[in-house]
Amino acid sequence: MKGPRALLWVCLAAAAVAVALASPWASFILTVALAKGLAALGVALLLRAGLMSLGHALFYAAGGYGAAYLARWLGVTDLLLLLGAGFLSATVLGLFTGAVLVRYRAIFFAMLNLAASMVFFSLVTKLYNLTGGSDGMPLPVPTMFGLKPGQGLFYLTLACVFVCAGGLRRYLDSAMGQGLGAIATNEIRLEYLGISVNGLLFVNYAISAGLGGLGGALAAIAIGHVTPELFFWTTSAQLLLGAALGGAGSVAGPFAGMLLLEGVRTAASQYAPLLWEMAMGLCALAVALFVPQGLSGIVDLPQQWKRAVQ
Amino acid sequence: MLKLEALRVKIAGLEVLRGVCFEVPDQAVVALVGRNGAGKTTTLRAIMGLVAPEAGRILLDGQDLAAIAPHRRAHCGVGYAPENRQLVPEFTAEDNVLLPCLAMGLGRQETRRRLELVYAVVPELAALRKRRAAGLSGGQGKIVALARALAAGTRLVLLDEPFEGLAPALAASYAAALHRLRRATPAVAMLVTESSPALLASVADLVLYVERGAIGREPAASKRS
Amino acid sequence: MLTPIVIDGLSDAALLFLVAVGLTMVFGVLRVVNIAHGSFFALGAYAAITLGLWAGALGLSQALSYGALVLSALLVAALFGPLTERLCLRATYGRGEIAQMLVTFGIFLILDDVQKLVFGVQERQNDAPLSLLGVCNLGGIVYPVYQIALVGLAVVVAFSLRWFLRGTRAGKLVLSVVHDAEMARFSGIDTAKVSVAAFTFGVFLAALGGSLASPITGAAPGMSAEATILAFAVAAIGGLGRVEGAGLAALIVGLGRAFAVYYAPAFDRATPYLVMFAVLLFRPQGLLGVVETRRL
Ligand SMILES: Nc1ncnc2c1ncn2[C@@H]1O[C@H](COP(=O)(O)OP(=O)(O)O)[C@@H](O)[C@H]1O
Ligand SMILES: [Mg+2]
Repeated sequence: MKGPRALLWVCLAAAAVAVALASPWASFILTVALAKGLAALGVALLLRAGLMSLGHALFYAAGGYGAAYLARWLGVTDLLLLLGAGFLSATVLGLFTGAVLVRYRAIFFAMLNLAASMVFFSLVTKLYNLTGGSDGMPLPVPTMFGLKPGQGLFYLTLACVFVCAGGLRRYLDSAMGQGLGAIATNEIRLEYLGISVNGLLFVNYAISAGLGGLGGALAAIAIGHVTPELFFWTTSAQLLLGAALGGAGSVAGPFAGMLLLEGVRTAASQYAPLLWEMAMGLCALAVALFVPQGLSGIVDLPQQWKRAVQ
Repeated sequence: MLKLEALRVKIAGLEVLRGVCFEVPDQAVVALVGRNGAGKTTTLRAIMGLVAPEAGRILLDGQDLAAIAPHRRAHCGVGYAPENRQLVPEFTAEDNVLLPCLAMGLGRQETRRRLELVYAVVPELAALRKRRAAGLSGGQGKIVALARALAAGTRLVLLDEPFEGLAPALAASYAAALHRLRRATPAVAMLVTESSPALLASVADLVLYVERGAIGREPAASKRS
Repeated sequence: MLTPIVIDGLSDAALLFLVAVGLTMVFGVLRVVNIAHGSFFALGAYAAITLGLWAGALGLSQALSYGALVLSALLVAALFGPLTERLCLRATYGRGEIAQMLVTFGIFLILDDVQKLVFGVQERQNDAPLSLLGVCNLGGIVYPVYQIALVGLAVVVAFSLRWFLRGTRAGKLVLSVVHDAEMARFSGIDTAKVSVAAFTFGVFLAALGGSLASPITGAAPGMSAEATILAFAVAAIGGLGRVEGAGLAALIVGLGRAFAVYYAPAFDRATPYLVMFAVLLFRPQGLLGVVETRRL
């Protein structure tokens, strides 16, 4: 089990590096896709506990804006500091929202997250002096220890993906992580065992917010700009789509989903600029109707067949 | 009338019915008695097509019900009063009773005929007629659910724990309604579940015992002549 | 000062109600939170504008643009309702929110591009219905009569819907499916048929909202996303599935927005979502929603 999976990761990373080396344009696309994958991983983490967030863009955007503010107010251009600012602002926001929202379930949880993100969207759009309004804010070209990073951002993103994915794998295998699955299936039994379900969900929510912020900050630095659209519900829906497309069952799923989604988007905008939304929509329909387990479900299919044969 | 052959039902991966076999003879009242969780409700729900059997057959006058969509079973003359009533709170009691007639698109005359029969069998309904179901007590709700089952059940009526939670006076009038139904329409067969046989002793022609999803021993099977 | 705020608020509430009522009805019957709702709203607006302009170009009577408003909603419903329900939604019943959300979001994305392909990316407008009715003077401020009439229209839609649900056979069947699909089934109702009919009717309501709003709002890309989110807010505040709730929520949000425009303009866009957040925090089922009792 461990062997093939690690091998898969190494292959993926090697492929990513190879593609990125081929052109800076490809490395940009990959950076954004992987950054969004981090945020989608946060969404998947909630899905694991049976919670669907329709407002995760809040943390993705908070990561971007956090980094942008650090640059705007303190003139910081250091990549790691910007990243830290994005991660921290999203995590702090996640601690506050999470404390209030983890009491809710199902559609109510989804709607409350949606409402929270839309409140931010509306305010960020309106408070021009504070936020740049709908024009958003620019981010500086980042530096790394005073040097121009070149492909450094891409490698840093790749490193973040590995650290987060590995850490999360550990977390999910731990007793706490196992508890998440139990929440989705039988919350009441967990309470009987003396486990605080809401406490578990709170930690989970904060982690998922932090992942969203990290991804948001990386993407914002790569793009060099943040706009209120980051907070909009369609961003949340895209993150959810990426998570579901890849499959919430595995840690690699959300990255695979986002890579596919960004790939489709890039290809469509090359060849049929008016049709990229349609292409994404068809992906969503295909997954929901034909591959409910998502891409990672496809990866697991051979194993299932093997088991079926035995 | 109704025949269950080796019926197996799984709920959430658990085998809830494990080969239930029994028959409701024509014109008979059969009591299905068993403890909580024995599988009584599931048996009735399977007959109504609300849970899909894993295996086994349910025959209504020799016809396999598997071929009949769940919503067509009311059209076949099977009425069902679930244990938790399941009324539409916005509707009046009478509108709830009439829902099967409305759903089946019965003509005005047929609807009136059925309603008259229901009022004759369940006179308690008259006082509740215009009241909204949301404002009814649990016991009154049971009466309305019974009436609704009678409006659909021209051949077979399924009642799930009708006496559960009823005050003694209401339970007595409910039992009286069942007796009236026997006399008014002897051709209608009934399958009634209960957790204790005593309540049904006076109505039932046949008492069956369910235990852990199967028809078990009949410690005191009583066959009235 | 108060009069114009109230008038603005009411006409805003009318639009909000028209946006949300179809969403809440579809949720009530199908238990599907339809993200594509706003797409049908926008399609209704585009269709009404296009039909109205055609009628104008053909030299037909201008009054026909009012007919075009209703006709376009019917067209959108007939074209998209049964197709969407049969091909996409049906497969998601009972499979939980994630599958539903993916399917309806997929439809939303597809229809967004369909709109751009068919109607272009320019803003479109047909103000014949607006100019035909002229303007009126209320409390010293000039309003298009159509904007005031829209309040009446929303009330008419609300009461017709109420009458349909409470007073007709079809409506009663729909209501009983809304309340308890299983009970509806054992009472002899073909819930699959009711689902198609109700979804198509929901699409009709969405498109009608868009077409009735179009003389005021016009139609432009981005309209679907805006309509979907506002419909979500209004429907959730009122209680998903509750038509009266949508009316009440539309009033609260409409008036709230109008007050915000005058007294706290920075918050006007955020008002619906602030209300939504506050209401759901204390009453997750919405103002008029009922707590679902789940059978074990
Ligand atoms: N929705 C459900 N989910 C899980 N288990 C169920 C469900 N419904 C019934 N069961 C199980 O099936 C068994 C039979 O239930 P039921 O038919 O309701 O029994 P009865 O009506 O005799 O009390 C019980 O053990 C119950 O726990
Ligand atoms: Mg029972």
